[in-house]
Amino acid sequence: MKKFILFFLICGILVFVLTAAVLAFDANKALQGKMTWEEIVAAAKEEGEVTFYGWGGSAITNQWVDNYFGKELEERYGIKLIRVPMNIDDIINKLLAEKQAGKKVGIIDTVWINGENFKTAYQANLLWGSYAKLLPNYNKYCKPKEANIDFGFDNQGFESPYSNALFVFGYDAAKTEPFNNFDELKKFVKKNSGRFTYSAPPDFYGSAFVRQVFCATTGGYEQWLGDFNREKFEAKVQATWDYLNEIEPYLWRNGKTYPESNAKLESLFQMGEIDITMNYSFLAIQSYINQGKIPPTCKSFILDEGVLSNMNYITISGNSSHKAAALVLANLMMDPEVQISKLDPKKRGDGIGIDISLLEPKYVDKLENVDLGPATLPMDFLYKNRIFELNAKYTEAIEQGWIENVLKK
Amino acid sequence: MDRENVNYVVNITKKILKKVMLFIVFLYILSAIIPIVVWSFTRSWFWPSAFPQIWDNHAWQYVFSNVSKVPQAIANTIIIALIVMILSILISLPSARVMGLYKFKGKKIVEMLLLAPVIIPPMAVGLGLTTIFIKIGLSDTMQGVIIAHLIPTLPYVNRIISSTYETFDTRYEEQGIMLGASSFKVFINVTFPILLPGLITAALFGFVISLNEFVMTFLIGGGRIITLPVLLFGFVGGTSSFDYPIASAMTILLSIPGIIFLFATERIIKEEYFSMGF
Amino acid sequence: MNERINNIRLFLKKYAIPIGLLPIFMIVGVLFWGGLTGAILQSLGWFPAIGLREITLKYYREIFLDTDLWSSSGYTLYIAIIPTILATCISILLAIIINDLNGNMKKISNFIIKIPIMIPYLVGIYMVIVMYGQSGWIARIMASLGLIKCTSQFPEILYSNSAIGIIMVYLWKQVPFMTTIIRSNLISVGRDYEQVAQTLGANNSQIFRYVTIPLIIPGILSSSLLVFAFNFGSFETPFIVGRYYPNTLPVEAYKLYSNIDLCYRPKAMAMVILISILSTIILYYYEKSIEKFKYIKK
Repeated sequence: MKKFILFFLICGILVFVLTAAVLAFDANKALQGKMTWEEIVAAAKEEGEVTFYGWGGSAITNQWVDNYFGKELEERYGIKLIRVPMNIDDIINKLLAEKQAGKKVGIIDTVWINGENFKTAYQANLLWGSYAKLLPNYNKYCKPKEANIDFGFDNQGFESPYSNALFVFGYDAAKTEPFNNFDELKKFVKKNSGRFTYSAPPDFYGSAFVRQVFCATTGGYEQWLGDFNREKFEAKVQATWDYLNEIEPYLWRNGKTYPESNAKLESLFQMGEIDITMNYSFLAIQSYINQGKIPPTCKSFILDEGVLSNMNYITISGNSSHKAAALVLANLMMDPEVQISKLDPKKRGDGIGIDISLLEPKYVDKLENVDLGPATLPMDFLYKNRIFELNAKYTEAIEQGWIENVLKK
Repeated sequence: MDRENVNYVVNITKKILKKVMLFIVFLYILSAIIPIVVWSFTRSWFWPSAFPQIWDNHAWQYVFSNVSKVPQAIANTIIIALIVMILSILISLPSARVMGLYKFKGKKIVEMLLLAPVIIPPMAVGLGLTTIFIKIGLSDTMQGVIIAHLIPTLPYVNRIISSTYETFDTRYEEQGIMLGASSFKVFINVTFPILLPGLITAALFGFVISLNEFVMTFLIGGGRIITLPVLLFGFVGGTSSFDYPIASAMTILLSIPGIIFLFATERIIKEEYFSMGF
Repeated sequence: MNERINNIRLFLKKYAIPIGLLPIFMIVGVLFWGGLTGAILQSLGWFPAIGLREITLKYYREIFLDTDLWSSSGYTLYIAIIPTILATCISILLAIIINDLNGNMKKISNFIIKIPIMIPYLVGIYMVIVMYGQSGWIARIMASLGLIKCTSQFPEILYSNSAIGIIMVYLWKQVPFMTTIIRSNLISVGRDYEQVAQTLGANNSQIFRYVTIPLIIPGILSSSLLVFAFNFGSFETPFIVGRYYPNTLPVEAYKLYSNIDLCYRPKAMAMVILISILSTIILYYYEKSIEKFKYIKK
């Protein structure tokens, strides 16, 4: 009798260990495409949880991630989402510091990231690998040629789509008359002295504004697509600094100080200190109206020079200990239902990251039924006027140049 | 007017001026509470109105929900503050005794070394400490944050307790020993009661400094250990969607532990104790 | 057995001083000075993680040549000195006034004056923004009364070169701190001497001028020292309500540190070390100058 029990015990342990071994997530194996999606999902359930690091300064974003997305992740896959609010600079610093200290297993699994920050993380070998192609939703709803270009840089699938951003401006129709292009902006600031400003680069949004000024004052953005051309840049960029220095005395606080972030800029707009706001999300204005932060008379507007458009992504860190769960998270984020929920300005108001033309008809219907609100400009209108982000080296050069030529006067 | 009347008028004026100054100061300290409370119950409040156009309590609902991380932050903040308070007193007891009772060569230098954390900015220490803590695995942990909090706390706690020891007459202890009590009993029954006022003041300082500490938690805790100051910084610090209603609700919550502690120790700490060490 | 215990006792007695200081030195010595050493090394160019192994002074040179950092130093000193002086003067007055109060007024005053001490700086910062910003409550009340029409007509308190916003935050927090300390000094230190002076026939105003004030000066000076040290190294307040550029040294150091480009980090560390050296020098001389007043207490 005793022998039998012992035997069963040993078998049980063996089965347990073997199952664990089978289910245990072999990151390298997965990366080489040798695991099926079902195996990955099962391994993810074993892992049980995943951390998601990203900017946490928007209550409505936090609520959508925790209450909607986290719930979906838990209900569909049995994975607990741990959202950690942190600014991207601090996240990257942390990953760098961990790498410096030789930490093999870190607590950061997934990160909300794009652009220069992604490039830095990628070049510093902080990221896991080319995982995007492992995700069913990526293969279904994304065109790699478009989805992989992040600020003119091929991300090699090291990140997977999260949202699409379309840069728009906002104003209160009850108080202000907006402007149609950068020439009219010059007249606007002179007429409405102290009622316009932009956040100081290297803030993401202020940088985007200055980039648009750059394209506008140098005769268009097409010439700058492609690799970084230093001579051409230095030859033409002075027009940008001249423009920005010319409007500086007419800015908020006479340009003696700039808001250090777009959040501060939006706060100035909300509190009535300036008349124009800007945001990378074309749904932001409507979302703020829904939240009661700005009056219902506010509307979005765009400039003749075009709508700056880019994507932001999710990436998986190299020293994550929950890579399977991270894959499931990244995949779920590209689920059409999730993206449509994210689009709704009543729930969050954030652009669709996957390719709309690849959606099945039932999702297209759902999409068209989302009420974007009266303050939002229609998506196809914005898409038609899209201009794309330049190579990140231009961004660096423009940010540095702004500090040297405008901030330091 | 004769001399007496002039004096009288001068005195009355002095009295009125004093009362006015007191009033202005208290107004300055307390008046901001009103708009903050109003903001915490606001949905929409646009310029130039003196009061909100739309009221609601969504901010409070958010703040009490788990999404805001406020419940965790409150728990973390208080737990850390209590542990730091106790630890800093335990660590300071032996050193304060030494600093208060003994004279020795190099005492001045020791004094300055121990005061260094007060003089050198936390940002300076914190940045250098971050890498070290990561290497020894203390970053992002409660233990790490607690130890980091000891740095700004110990100088104050040590100074306060050591100044209590300065006026301490060791002969009481000697008498106790002569009468046959063990060292431990002497400590509990003789030393401790005499030190008590200083210990309580030191405890207050230790608790409050840790409660309000931001830079150390921000740098060492790395976003994983969330305390109320770190959380509030996220909503006031300029990189968040400046949300006045939520920031207001958080501010009010953030102030409550300190005020409760003030109430609790009001009775115990007499006014004169606050000058210990200064 | 007893002999063993006795030996231990003798050992403890003999080395009482170093043993007693051991725990605190472990924390302050190891952690604090260890942290600084790490910063010093990086500031001298020792940063293996990005391949820098050459000891160099070039970062320090960069800082000395940077005129904006000189401006930042000036700004930092300015917001360290002015609020300290203001707070000291106001606190002395307040301490005396509160001391002379009676009964309930005294109790209430005691309580209210301590409130800001228990509340974090961030709350004070937020209060100043909400009340005194150009779109703050006071401005809105004025606008509703028709006194001003748009936000730019309200004084520029926040984000300004004059740093009024920063000073207001510091005053809110530090006047209560200094008042409490000075007042408690007034009570405890003066009593005996005041009584002696009274028996010798001095009147109230004489006692105050010649006995009380000299006795509380050490307390005033050492608490103002603390306040000055804090203001010099403070981060949160200038970061949130200071002008954008150049902000105070600790803020600029942090900005450099958190720059994605790690090349800036040694420079940030150099700034941090310079800040530390600067504050140590200033405070050393400050401490020396108040030395002569301390003899009164001892």
